[in-house]
Amino acid sequence: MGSSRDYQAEGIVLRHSVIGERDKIVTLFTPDEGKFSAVARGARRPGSSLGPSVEMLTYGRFQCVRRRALDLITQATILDSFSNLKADLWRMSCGLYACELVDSSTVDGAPNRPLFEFLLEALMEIDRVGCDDNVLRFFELRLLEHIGFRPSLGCCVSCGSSLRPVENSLSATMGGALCPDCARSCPDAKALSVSALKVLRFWLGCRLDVARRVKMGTALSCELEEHGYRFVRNVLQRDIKSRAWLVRLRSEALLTSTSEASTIPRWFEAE
Amino acid sequence: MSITAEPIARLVQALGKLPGMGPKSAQRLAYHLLLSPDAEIEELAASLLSLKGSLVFCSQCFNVADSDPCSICADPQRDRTVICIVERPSDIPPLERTGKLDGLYHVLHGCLRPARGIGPDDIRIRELLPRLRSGEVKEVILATNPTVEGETTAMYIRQLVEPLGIKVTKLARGLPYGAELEYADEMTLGQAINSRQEF
Repeated sequence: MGSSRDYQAEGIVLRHSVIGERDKIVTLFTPDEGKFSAVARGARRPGSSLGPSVEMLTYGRFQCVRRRALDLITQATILDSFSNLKADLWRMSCGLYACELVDSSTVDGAPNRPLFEFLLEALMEIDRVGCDDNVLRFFELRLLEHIGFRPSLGCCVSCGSSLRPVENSLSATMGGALCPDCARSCPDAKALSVSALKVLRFWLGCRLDVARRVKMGTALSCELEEHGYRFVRNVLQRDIKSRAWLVRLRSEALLTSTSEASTIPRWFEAE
Repeated sequence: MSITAEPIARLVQALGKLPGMGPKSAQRLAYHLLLSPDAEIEELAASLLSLKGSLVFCSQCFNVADSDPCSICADPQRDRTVICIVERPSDIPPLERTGKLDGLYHVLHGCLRPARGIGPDDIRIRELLPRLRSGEVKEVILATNPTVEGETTAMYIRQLVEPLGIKVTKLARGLPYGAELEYADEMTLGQAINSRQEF
């Protein structure tokens, strides 16, 4: 019979670190408990029943015991190991980027069920279909929304006037779009094309599987990438380390054309 | 005034910096050493002092050794057409104990950890390529850990090695000896099914 200290949590393993010779400290992101860390004893031992369940990018059900310091994971069942995602370098790197974004944008013990469901949906989509630039940009945009920093794209965030179909600007510090007049007095305002504004507005109201169908050229994709990361960087106030890895993989894929990243058509698509 | 004598406090502080060693364990070890015979302490001190001074990285495989090249790279009986890639020097002894590998090694000294900013330039991947371009190597065995980061490293190296026309293999994943099927997770079991062999 379980004691009141026992509890069960479904969650995604965001990261882990090594403790002692055989143990791991696992950081889980769960819908009800939020983000928390727990010890998985013996998880590094070959043949440990906990080992595969507490590996990064795993969705599982974890039986835990509350303790004064870190909780203890006593049993775990894998609900989805995202095996396709883990069998592909590009997909796995995108999954790690998504997990690092969530890890960086959440604090311990603050539940955020919509964000959890969004991360799970994104990992399932990457596992099932793959990951392209649209998925990454959509994930960044909607992550901002889920943590309360949804970019304001309806009207100028400075003067409140409606945005006309001309080249406007986007400011990460102001939190949204600026009309051409207000952009002149905003030092971090960057040009926002009409197409980019349309795509961002569309993405704020659609699902991931729909968002990935948007066709765009390299210039527009690069513009959205620049805006997206500037927003994320401004909100999180730190660099996302796995982004450098994605950039590297993408550039090397152009040279070797052997990785899964090279199968992403848009990066090779002429404008 | 400090409650603990200065030499003990210094030893506890030094031991506490070792991986997996908490302050309590460090203190326990320090008092154990205090009560140990002088000869044992001297031997320990001498081995610690010689650790850095007498060991070198093998310039070929980057294993930690007492000579360059290391005993494995210098052994003319080893199969030079096979290179087994491992994450750490400590991965070599268990592989050697199997008696199944008679090729050479390449020690990466870590693995790719994108979320911690550890990329290919931070481990010894670049040093692998000249060895492979010599034309002597016919097979690369990837023996990285079966973790997300180990797999990331293995897949990245495969991407670099395959265009050179060298066969790339990876250690099989599956059920450990003595395990019970009932308690195996779906990932391990799935890989065991995929890697099944004719019996």
